[in-house]
Amino acid sequence: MNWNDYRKAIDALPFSDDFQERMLLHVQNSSERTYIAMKKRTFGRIAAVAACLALLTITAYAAILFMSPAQTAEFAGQPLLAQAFESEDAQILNESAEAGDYRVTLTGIVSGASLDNWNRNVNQERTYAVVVLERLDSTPMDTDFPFEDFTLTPLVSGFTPWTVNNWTLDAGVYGFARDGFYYYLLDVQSLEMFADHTVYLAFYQGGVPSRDIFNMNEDGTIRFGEDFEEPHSLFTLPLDKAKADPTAVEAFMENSGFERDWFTNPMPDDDELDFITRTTEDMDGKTMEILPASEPNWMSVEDYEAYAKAEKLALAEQVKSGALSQATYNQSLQELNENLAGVQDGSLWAAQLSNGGISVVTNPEISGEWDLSYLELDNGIASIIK
Amino acid sequence: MVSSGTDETICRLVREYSDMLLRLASIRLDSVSDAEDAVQDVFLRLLSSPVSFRDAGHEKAWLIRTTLHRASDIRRQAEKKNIPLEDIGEMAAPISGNELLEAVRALPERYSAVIHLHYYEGYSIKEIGKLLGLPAATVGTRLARGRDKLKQMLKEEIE
Repeated sequence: MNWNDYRKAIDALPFSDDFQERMLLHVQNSSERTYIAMKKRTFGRIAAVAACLALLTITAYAAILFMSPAQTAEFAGQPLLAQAFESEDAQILNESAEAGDYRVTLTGIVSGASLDNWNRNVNQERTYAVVVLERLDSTPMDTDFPFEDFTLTPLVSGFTPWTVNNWTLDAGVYGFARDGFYYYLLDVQSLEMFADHTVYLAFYQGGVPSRDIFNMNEDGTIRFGEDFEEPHSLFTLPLDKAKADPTAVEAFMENSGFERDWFTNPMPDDDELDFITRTTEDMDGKTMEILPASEPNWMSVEDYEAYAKAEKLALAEQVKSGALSQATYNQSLQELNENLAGVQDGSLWAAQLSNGGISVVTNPEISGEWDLSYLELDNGIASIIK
Repeated sequence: MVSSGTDETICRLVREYSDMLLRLASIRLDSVSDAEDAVQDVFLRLLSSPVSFRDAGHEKAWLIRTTLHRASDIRRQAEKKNIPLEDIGEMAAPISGNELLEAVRALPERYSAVIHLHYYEGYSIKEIGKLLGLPAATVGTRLARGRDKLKQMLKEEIE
């Protein structure tokens, strides 16, 4: 029996010949519907703004400063949202920061359900924020402002910027110019569930949050990267910690499709031993050994037992606090127990990594060589040799 | 970083990855139509909730992990249906007729996924580590243990 048989069996599975074709058709049809809905949403906003502009021309001339959040929502054709911005639940902030040639002012935020026409059929709590831009040299801003070149997105401390942002929080951002100012109205899935973390509102020239734009510190705080030179500013949203909802955050992460590590670890590839490869050729073919780049800091059995004990307690705590699902806990516990048994009977060795992590590998003294070795044959098949 | 939200991007992902994802789903699911459902769900998920990918590696990793999760969900749902024992024989009849494939399917997911990605798709230990978000050493250990389990199940060495 060999792996060629396996490959042949997989190749012989009777998948539908037209699966890809059907899938492409489905995607195109669905995307077309989404695209039309999004265009309507945009056209709806522009039409509403144009109508209001005609009605409010006199008021506009009389205005000296920019509009309040409630006036902004009213102007965008969202009367319920305007009322919400005037309620006790709203927070009027008027906090300013400079970003390149612009002054950015966060005027206010409010959260609630069914407050806008864009999500009329969605019974979901949303958070709204209004941000106003003006040029530092007082040149009026108009509709030529490249709205789509800039991003206004929430970020949450303790979660990597590439996993919690507009793109994962079902956000919409609406922009329009009036009286020399440019207004942003952000509409996003409620941020209150994250209220026990620091929740930021980032404004910057650029696209989806990435490592090129943001850094996440070890304590989970987020800042713009030192090398990021485009206009940018970062606000902190004053949310009520009592409204934090770890269960909703758990559900959000569960439904995201991301591994948990991607939410919390800014450099997920670092938690591993650094390997080098050594290739030799003999009569049987080419042998490639994968070896640690430097001698690892091997742990004693007692040290690993102490680590395993502490890790089990930490995992149990995470389940209790809702940060870890029961299924993930069960799997982690099983692997931990298997590794512990291996370290205790000497078949596995545990290494302490420079970043504080632990890695477990097969005992190289038992296998003679590292068992992470390959025999590459002429037909391209690779197999582990012990 | 690219968002998966555009139809162009999703169509490219379907063209590039659907065959690989179908094969991957089929090592968790006995029925070809279940495997097709799992992969279809993954692409529909991208349509309804666009994901922002850091790079091509992240894109592939997300698709592989989400396919494995979805396939496991479908498998769990089927197991929960409490099918009478006498019916199981007929329903679970191996569709491949290949002992090795059936043995890989019978492995726990943590072993079958790395075995398949390595021996069929040809990914190295380090690549599989990145795709599944695991340390390379863990992948190596799983690969070795998976092979040992296969050897025990089939009572012969796989070359």
